[in-house]
Amino acid sequence: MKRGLTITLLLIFSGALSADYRPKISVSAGWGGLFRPAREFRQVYRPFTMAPRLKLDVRTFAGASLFAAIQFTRERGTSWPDPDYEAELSGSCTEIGLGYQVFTGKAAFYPYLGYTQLFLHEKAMDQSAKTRAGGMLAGLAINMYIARRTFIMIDLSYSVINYQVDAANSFNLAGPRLQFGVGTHLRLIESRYSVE
Amino acid sequence: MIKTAIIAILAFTTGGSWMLHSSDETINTQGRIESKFSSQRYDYTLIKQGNQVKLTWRDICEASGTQPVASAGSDVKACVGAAVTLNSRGSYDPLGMTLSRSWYWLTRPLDSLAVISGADAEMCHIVPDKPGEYTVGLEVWTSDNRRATDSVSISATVCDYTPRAAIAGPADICGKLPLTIKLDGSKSHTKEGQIVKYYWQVESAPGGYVKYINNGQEIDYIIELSGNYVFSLVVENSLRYLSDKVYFQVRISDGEPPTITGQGERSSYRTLLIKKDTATINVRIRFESDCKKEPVEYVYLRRAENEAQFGPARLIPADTIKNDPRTGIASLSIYDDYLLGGVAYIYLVAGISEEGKVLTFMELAL
Repeated sequence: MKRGLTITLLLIFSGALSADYRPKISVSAGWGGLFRPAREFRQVYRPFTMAPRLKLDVRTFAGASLFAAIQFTRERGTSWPDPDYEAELSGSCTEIGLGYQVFTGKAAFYPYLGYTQLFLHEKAMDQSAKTRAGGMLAGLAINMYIARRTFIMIDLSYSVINYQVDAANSFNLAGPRLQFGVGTHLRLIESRYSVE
Repeated sequence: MIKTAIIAILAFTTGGSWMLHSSDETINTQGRIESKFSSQRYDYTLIKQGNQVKLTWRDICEASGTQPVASAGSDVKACVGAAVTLNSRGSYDPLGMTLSRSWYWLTRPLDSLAVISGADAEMCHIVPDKPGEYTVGLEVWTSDNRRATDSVSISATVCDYTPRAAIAGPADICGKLPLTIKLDGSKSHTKEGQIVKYYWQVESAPGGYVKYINNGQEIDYIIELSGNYVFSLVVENSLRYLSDKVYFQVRISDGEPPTITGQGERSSYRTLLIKKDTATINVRIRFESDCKKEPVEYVYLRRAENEAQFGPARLIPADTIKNDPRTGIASLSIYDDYLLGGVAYIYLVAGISEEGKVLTFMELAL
């Protein structure tokens, strides 16, 4: 498993290393607003929350990019139907996907698709429960360069992570997300053909 | 003694002391005459000797007033069905001759068939068969035919020989076991004779044998088990008649535990990943009797409907039980959680005795 991951990363980075211009690897961090419209979620927690998100993009060939991101959430709610018990939910959402960057002047449009996996840990009513659920996401990021290596990122995405409550019921743990952040390029090896 | 005299008829008549009666003017040559003045009787014989009549007589009694004395005894009050003995021992002959006796009916109730046993004996026995007045005559006589009579009355009534047993004692006893109950038979009574024996018996008891201390009229039973006891008493009077058996029931209780009633409701809670059902049971504890048997603690147990056995008992803290002195009702609430949603639970709320026994309980399905 580790070997496979290492080989995969090397392939990705090797592709990036061969790029002649434009940022190969960029890292962005932001504060994203999540909206979980599912009724089951809204009954316990607020539908909207803000959470930090860290994203790593690796441009491979042409405008194609691979990305990985992680977002941490921590929120409090109350039991349903009667709010007699407090609940605390912490989650980490990891994403990997493939996007395509279209550079237009000082902005790059970055539509992407990916797979996301959500780890949730909830404590309530003197119990704790953990679960993991996977889903798909699609989004559009816009990186607006404000400096040579710095950009402001606006990322709008929609995730679908179905949580199977029982055999008959499931709901979506995720939903639309809007993130604002800043990012920068990492140049591991500077190409002589690089054009800023 | 034979006396012989020659008395002229005239003189005999004139004397006025003797009179020979003859309706057809024919005088029997032999007969019995009786003195008009002394009731003395004589047997006479007339023998004509020429123009004289020889009168020979023999007085039946040697002297005036020497008849035997008949004594049938004093009047008697008797009971129907009970033998009466009449005694003529008080009869006698002043001359010391042996008396013969004869008892006979003078009167008796019309429908009576009573007979006299030993009618020729000194004592006779009569069993009156009907209530009423009986009169028995007694005639005594000597071998020389001197006689006397007497009578005695027997007043016969229907008598009650059977004694009556009576038991006095407490019908309900509430107390801590073992306890002693005292039953009193002194109210037993009899019309005839006196009560001389008391036969106490335990007819039924929860535990079978019951210890006792028998004092005759009173008896102390030492009760170790609560429940219903039935005791009986038969008394015997001095006539050896036994009473009917009388029963006496005593309910022994070491206290009545309270009744537990209640109702409850289920509540379901959930968060995103966690579900939880809770149950709230409102329990009412009420003593129906003043004889209280207070549980030392209350517990509740729970089992799912599909489980065979209850889980461990959980103590209900005493300080959560609220007593209402006005109504005498205690109440408490049981709050239980971590129930599986969709699964019915059976709750058992119980009051436990000092010995760890269940005194009272309530089951509730939620």
